[in-house]
Order: sequence, then C-alpha cells, then structure tokens
Amino acid sequence: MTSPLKPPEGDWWSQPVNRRESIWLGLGAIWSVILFGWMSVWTTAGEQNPIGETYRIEAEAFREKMSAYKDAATETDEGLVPPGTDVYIQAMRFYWDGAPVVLEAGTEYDIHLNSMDVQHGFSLRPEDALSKQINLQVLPGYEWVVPMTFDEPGTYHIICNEFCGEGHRTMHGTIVVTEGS
Amino acid sequence: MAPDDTTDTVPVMQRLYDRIWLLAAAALLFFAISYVGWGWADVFSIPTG
Amino acid sequence: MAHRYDVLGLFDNEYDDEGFRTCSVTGLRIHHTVENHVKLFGLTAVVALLVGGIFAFTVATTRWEAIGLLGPDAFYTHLSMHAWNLLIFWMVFMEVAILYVGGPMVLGRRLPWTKVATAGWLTMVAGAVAVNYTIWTTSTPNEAPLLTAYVPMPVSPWFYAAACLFIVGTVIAALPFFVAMWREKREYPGKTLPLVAFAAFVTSIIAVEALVGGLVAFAPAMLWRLEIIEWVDAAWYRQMYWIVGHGTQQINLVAMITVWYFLTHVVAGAEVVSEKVSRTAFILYLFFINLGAAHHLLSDPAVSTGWRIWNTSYAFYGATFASLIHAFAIPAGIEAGRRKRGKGGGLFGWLTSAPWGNPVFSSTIFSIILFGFLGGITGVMMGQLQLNMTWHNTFATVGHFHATVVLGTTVAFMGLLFFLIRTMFRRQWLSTRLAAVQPYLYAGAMGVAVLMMMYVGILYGVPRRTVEVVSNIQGTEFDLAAASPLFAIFGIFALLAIAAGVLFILLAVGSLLFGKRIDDGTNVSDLVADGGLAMAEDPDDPVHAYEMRGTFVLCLVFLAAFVITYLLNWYLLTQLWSIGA
Repeated sequence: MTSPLKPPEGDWWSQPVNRRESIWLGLGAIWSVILFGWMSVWTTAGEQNPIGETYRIEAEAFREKMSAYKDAATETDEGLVPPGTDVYIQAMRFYWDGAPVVLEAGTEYDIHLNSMDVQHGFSLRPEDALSKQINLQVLPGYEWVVPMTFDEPGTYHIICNEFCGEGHRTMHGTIVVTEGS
Repeated sequence: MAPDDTTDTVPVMQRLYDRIWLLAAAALLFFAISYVGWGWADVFSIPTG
Repeated sequence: MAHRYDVLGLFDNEYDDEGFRTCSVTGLRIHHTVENHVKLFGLTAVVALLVGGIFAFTVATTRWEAIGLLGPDAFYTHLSMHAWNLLIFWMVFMEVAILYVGGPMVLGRRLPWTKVATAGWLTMVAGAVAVNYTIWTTSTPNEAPLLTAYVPMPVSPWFYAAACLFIVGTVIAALPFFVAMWREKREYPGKTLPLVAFAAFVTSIIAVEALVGGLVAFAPAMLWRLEIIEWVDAAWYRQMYWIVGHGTQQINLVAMITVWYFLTHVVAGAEVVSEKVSRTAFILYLFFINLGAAHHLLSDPAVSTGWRIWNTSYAFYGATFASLIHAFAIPAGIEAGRRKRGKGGGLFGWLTSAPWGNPVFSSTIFSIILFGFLGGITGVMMGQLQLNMTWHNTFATVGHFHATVVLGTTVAFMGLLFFLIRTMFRRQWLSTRLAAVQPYLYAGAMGVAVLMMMYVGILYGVPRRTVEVVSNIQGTEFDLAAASPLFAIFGIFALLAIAAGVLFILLAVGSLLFGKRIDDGTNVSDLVADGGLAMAEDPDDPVHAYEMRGTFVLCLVFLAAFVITYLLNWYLLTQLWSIGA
C-alpha cells in the first residue's frame, strides 16, 4: 500500500528504500552535522558570539552603577569617555542612557546592557556600512555584559528594535569610535 | 511484495512506530526536560550582580 | 440531510442511513458529524483571513514610508490585529479542521463528542472576538500587545485573559480528535495508521505543547496585570511565551506537510515512496521540532550557551534532517507516482505534465518550493546562534516568517480550501480561469515582497515593529534611507499580493454563495489524478521501484542554495567587529 490515505499492510518497515533517497539521506545527515558543528566550534574559535555574563539586578541598583560610572567618566562634546573598559548603557522609554559614548578602536570593552522599564532591542551599526549590523535583546531585571572590540573607527548608531511604546521610533543613540592608540 | 498479515513477522521498529501514545508521552517528557527544565535551571540560577 | 443550523445550503450534503457518504474524488467514507464540523472551522478560518488581510493593507502601506499611512498611535494596534488574526486565528481554525480530516475523516469514522467539538468552536470564537476587542480598544496606559505581549510592557489583562480563552477553546476542540484516535487504536491494535492520520497525530501533540506553553506564559502575565501577583520575570516569560509563539508555527509546518501529502496524492497521483522514511521524519518532528522555540532567545541574556545551541539545533539538527526527508519524499512521491501512471518522460516530464492549471495543485507546489527555498533555509540561518545577531528583530525576520506562514502554510491552505469548496461544499469555482491564476499571482507577488523584506533587514538593518525608521529617525540626521528603493519594490509587490489575497476571498466566498452546485454525476476528472487513486494500492506495482532522478536533481539544487546562503550569511558575520565572550 502506498497511499497516504490508506493503512499500509503487513511489514512496511522492510520495504527497500530507493537508492537516490538513501544518498539524499546521507547528504542530509552530513549537512546536519556541519550545521551543528560549525555553530558549536565558532563559540570558541570565532570572533562574533552573543555570549556574555548575565546578572540579576534591580532597576535602582543599575541606576546607581550608572551614576557612579558617569561620575567617574569624562564628559566631552562627542560624548562620555568611560573611566576604564566598562561601558554602561541603559535602555528606557525612550532613550539610551550612557550614549553618546566615545570608545577607542582596538580596545576590548565590556558593554553592560540593562533596561530600566520594558524590553528593548539594542541594534547597532556603523553609519557608513549599514550591512554590518547586530542586534541584542535588552531586559529589565538583568545586566548582560557583552564584550566588544571595534576595529573600524567611525560613528555607530543605536536604534531600538523591540517595540516599547509610542516613542519607540525615537530611541536613537551613538557610539563614537576613535582611532586606537 | 505481497501483503503479509501475520503480526510476528512485523519488525519491532514498525511496532514501535505504531505505538503513538508511547511516542507522544516520550516526546512530551523530552520537551519538558530539554527545553523547559534546562531553561528554568538557567534562568533561575542567574547570580545577582 | 441539511444540518439543523444550516445556512445558505452550506451544510446540506446527502448522507446514507448511517450518516455516511462516499467522496467521489478521494473515495473516503465521510460522516456528516466530521464534515459539518470541518466546514464550520474552515469557514471561520476564512473570516479570520479576511479580517487579518484588511490589516495587511494598513500595515504594509505604513511600513512603506513613501505612503506612511498610520502614525505611532495607530500602527501598533493595526499590527497586532494583523498578527493575531492571521498568524493565530486563520491558522488554528484551519488546523482544527485539518485534524478532523486527517483523523476521523481519513479513518472513515464519525466525529466523537460532537457537542465538545461545537463547544470548542464557540469558545475559540469567543476568545478570538475578545482578543480582537481588547487589542482594538487599547488605550493609555496600556500598549498594543503585538503578537508577543512581552512582559513587562503594560498590556491589558483582558487581552491575556482572552488569549487564554482562545487557547482553552482550541484544546477543547482538539479533544474529539484524540478520542477518535484512541478508539481507532483500541479497535485495531495491530494496524498501522495511514500516513496522513499519523501526521495529523504528530501535529496534535506538537499543538498540545504549544498550547500548554501559551497558558503557562499568559496566565501569570494576566495575574500580574491584575495585581494579584507582584512580578513576572522578563526572561522567564520569553522562554515560556515562545513555546506557543514558535510552537504554533511548528503546528503550521506539520499541518502544511500533512496537507502536502494529502493533496499531491489526490490531484497529482503522488504515492508514499517509503512509509518508514516519511514516518521517521514525523517522529523526529514529534520529539524535536518545538525545541526551536529557542531561536527567539539566541541574542538574549540569561539562557546559557549550551541550552541555546542544543535547543536551537533541534537536537543535532534532528528536525531539520526531518524537513530534508520530506523535501525529497514529497516530490519523489509525485515523480514515482506519475511515472507509474505513464506521465513521466525524461528528467522532469512528470512535473511539466502535472496539472498546473489546477489551483489545488499549483498552490501545493508553490507552497513546497517557496517554503523550502525562502522559508526553511532562512529559518536555519536565523537559528544559528551567531547568525541570529544579524537577523534578530530586523525586517528580515518578518521576511522569513512571511515566507513560511504565507508562502508556505497560507498558500497550501488556500489550495486546500479550493479543494474543499469542490468536494465538501460541492460548488464549482466561481471562475475556473481566475482560480487557476490566483496562486500564481499571490505566490509570485508575495515572493518578491518577502525577498525585499529580507534584503532590507539583513543588508540595511531595518528594524521590525517600528512605524517610521527608514526615511527619518527623530532627533538625528542618521536614517536608513538607502533602503528606500528596495522598500518601494516591497510596497508595490505587497499591494499586489494583497490584491491576490482579495481575489482568493472573492473566489472562495463567491463560489460558496453563487457557485454552481455539484451533484454526484458531475465530472471530477480535473481534480482526480490521472489513472485514479486505486493505482496506489497495487502491491505488485510498488512505487519505490520507479525512478526518482528528477527529484534527486531538484534536491541537489535545493542543497546548493542552502549551502550558498549559509556561506553568504557567515561571510557577512565575519565582517563584523569582535563581539562576545
């Protein structure tokens, strides 16, 4: 019986499989292993991974860290220059607090992401290369520390890409990356 | 290949594939562990920063 | 034998003394309890399609900022209406109908617990209307829920309650299916279910996971909004929500594939080339497909790398392997089945000689090709942990899911409805010519729109869920205006697709209201596969002995597209600066 509408009779398990179908299954299995393997290997060998430490934190506690960070940072025309390699960015309706921030190319920074209120989307790209864009989810109640090292100087633009209310489309910020020393 | 109705010539894998409630229960259990349980373990073990 | 609540002669087929009739197209023995409920759920689905489709117009003409129809006050409400009516109500009402067809109808049984089926329908309708109402009446301080209603965005608690009501209704409506399957297995313990029935069963279990996940996410959210509980954790909500968020899409996938096996058999003469291999694929889906909910949590904090890699891969890509099986088995079934019927000839004669003028056939084939090439491949791309960063929350994500649920599932369901209008509602299509052309228009236009969505998302980083961001971003000179030309193409083809969608509704509703009645003597040769369906049951002419080389070539082309897309996506990723621990 080979109708999908009728029950197959007897021993259908032992029906031989067409040779080309078997070859296809082999190719499919190899491709599946490649998909899994490449993704796994990249977490240790690759330069781009959405991986960083997560901590639970109340909104107020993050505000305090933000305050301390801003006090220790240097205000310039282009933006905040962080005191060390920790960069704090807090999303809120409808503003990226901590931006604009001025960083140096070639230095590894720890970007601390948190939301003060609802979920937001941290969407970042250099202004002269819109296809180089990445997107990370920003949650209230969590501090996500994602290391980043910018290789190209320029102005990078932050847009919010998680719906957060009527002013969602106005949430814009910048990260200015200067030539590395 | 002529149809064969004797149940003892049916391979054990075929009989397993016919046990839909067993398969369903196993799948539900697997999902509960792999996606839900492991995920909860992750989310509920985040340290305070 | 018109049903007590028959309207417009839509529920009045003739049945024998036991309540059965034999379908002259499929040969199935159909009981009126099943058929009338399938029709009820199918008609309701079309109403949802219409409502959601109206909002497709307002949403598309807003995202195409050259028109920019709506402002931020209205857009997100319209987007929510579009999403819930199409992604959930259109799909789920059809899927209950498909469960009834795949289960009791294919098995030649009556529908058990008919009062429960009707109660389920009533509850689902109440839930759907309530969801529509709560979305439409969104007002300060609440925000529109969109599809996801992400905690802690302030969303009306009555929205969450309405969503729970719809879910509970769906569970109730599914119960008669489970009872029918239980009785069938108890009455025939040594018998194997037909492939379509087995597939329907797998669909139902995937649905159970999705629906329970929905209740687990929405009920606490509702309690929090009612201030009965203090807080719901955002990361926990996301993990739970996406069980229903993505799980419902997996129901769409497996239901669609069930429909593919059914329709390719009936209208094109396809047969099952290997019961063992196809069933293995469905079992892989059963175990692994819902793990893919993790795709939405790849660019998230909180969940571990191990959890993300394991679940996003559907356990070593087990469910992707299953899809690759169906990618071969379905066209191979058509090829071998048609060669057996003398319709082969060369490498692709089985395909070129197929009934392309039959909208049931063309819809099904377009669904298969476009789901595979546009939907499936991009799904695997986005589901790779690292590539996800370039897709997450961009308009490319929207492109992906329009490829899967519109080009894939909706086109397949439209084909199924064309089929049911003829075979269950027993009306001729209002215009055979327009019906023949509708799938080409819809799939073609939507296909271009989908490609544009993907390009603007990946190559220009255009966000999803944003009312205005291309031509102008408030407070800065920076914009994404470079994407405007592609958006113009998107806008035009989205409108063409919507027009083709309107054509479908007109043909469907028009046929039901004004189509010529079909009696038992009417010629059905345009629907039934050449050679009739009985050829599939000849044990001395097994289908697996026939050539499948045309399918093999098509699958190699598909694999090549997969590999090339993979390499391009990974190349783009490596151009980025260094990110992550």
